[in-house]
Amino acid sequence: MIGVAVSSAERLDTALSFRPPDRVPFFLPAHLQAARRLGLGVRECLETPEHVVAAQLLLRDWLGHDVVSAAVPAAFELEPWGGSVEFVDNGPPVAGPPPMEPDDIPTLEPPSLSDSPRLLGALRAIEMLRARVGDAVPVMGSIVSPFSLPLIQLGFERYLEVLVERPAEFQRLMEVNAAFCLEWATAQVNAGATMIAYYDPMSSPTCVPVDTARELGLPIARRLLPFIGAPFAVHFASGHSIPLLDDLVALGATAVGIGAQEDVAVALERSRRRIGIVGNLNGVAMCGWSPADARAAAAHLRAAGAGGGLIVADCHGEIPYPVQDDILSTIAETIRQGAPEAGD
Amino acid sequence: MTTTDAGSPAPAAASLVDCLLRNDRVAARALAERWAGQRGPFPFIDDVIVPALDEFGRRWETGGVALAQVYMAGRICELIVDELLSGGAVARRQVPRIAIAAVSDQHTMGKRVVSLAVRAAGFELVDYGAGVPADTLARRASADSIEVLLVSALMLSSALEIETISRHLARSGGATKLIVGGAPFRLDPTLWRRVGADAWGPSASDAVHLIADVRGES
Repeated sequence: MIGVAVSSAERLDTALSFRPPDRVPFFLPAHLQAARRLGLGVRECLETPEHVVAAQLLLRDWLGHDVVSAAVPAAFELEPWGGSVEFVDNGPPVAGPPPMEPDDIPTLEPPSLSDSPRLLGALRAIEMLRARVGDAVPVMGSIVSPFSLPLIQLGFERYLEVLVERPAEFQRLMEVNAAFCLEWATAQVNAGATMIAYYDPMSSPTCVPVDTARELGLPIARRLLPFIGAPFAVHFASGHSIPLLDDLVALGATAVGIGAQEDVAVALERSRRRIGIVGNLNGVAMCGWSPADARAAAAHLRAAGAGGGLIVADCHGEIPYPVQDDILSTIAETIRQGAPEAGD
Repeated sequence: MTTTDAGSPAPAAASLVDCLLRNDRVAARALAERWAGQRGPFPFIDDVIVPALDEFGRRWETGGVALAQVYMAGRICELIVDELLSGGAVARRQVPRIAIAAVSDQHTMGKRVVSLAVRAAGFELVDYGAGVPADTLARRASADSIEVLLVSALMLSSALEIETISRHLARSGGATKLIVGGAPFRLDPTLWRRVGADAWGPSASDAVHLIADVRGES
């Protein structure tokens, strides 16, 4: 392969086939920093498909990472259900108050994507990104899982009450959410997304016991994900993942995001070359890192991923706004230095 | 009904942990009736409930229990304490004046589990709600002469806003102690100092001890 340029898609494919890549693939979802570099506000950048595309292409040019993404903030996915989106200047938009009550569930129907301008905008961004990068760079879409969406539909506390005490409403809610999630995921794939990030923090052992995830969360994923028409990665949004690795292999996931407090070496060992590992830079700690800290963290992951099976990324799916550009540049440069020397 | 000795606190706390892990409210309530009936509500709260919730806190920190289990345990303990104190013969602890809020965003679970732990320890507390802007929260705490303000944040952007609260409280004389918690503080154990808090705790049950610590009572 000497002298032959390796595309990002080929690099990811090699790593996810558990063979040594030319260098460890990485992805820093720094769209908030990209907005800043473009001179745009967070809202202005996220709501306009052309700005989303410009931000993603800027990140490719600046960092040289291996994925472009039109993943939307979770708050956007709440909007079709009657939820509101609250923008702040120094971070991602957050969901407004939960729009639903448990008593609403029996008559609940899945909303239509056509009623959600922001999600339609995301589809347009995917189309444009795919047109720009073709097959050379994976285009990532995302969905919040049917099992986790109620965290913002109902709020955690009311959701737990439904989950524990109202099984009929729980089942109904899962059916309705799964119908919406399937439409939303397949629309992204049809628009050009080549992989889907399935955000399911509620199934993480951080949120519910492993048995509950196996009994409730993962069966819903099993009924949904085989039908979206693209490879998928499961992400628990900073929650722990390692106790569920075998279950995620059985689910057919291509990769899984691990938490910042989990050990990437343990995750790779327990994955036993069956599922890729994504992570696990600590985005919150990154806000206070020096360039030396960034270099050390990136070098550690670069070494861990040299044999394949690892995509270096943050642990949450979004680089926090306060993280400075020089830190991201240092991480990217360290990863891009290529296959690590022995003992690196 | 046969009266048997309630036994020493440590085994009772261990029994309560077992009940809470099984989500068995009936058994937990029976344990409370037996123990508190013989020793009084506050010895039961201090010697059985608080250690039981501390055990949940330890397990939460090591991944031994999930957030949903911490919540359900706190909820059962809150109901028990409500019942123990509902007759009016014994009042909740009114000192110090405590308030709690989730700053700026609508993620309420952290606030709720801390509220449950604090109320399960017999304290009264004012709930300022969720999505409260930092400056509003600081003004309300000062106006209400709050002595300990508990602030929960899930989003990093919300956690960083806590600095606005700490600055306001310092300008107001520093009589209000600020305790913070939430995912950003777990991911960066130096963050609580950077936002000017007086203390932080990785688990809900820590709040009960931190309330005493920041007031110099422990």
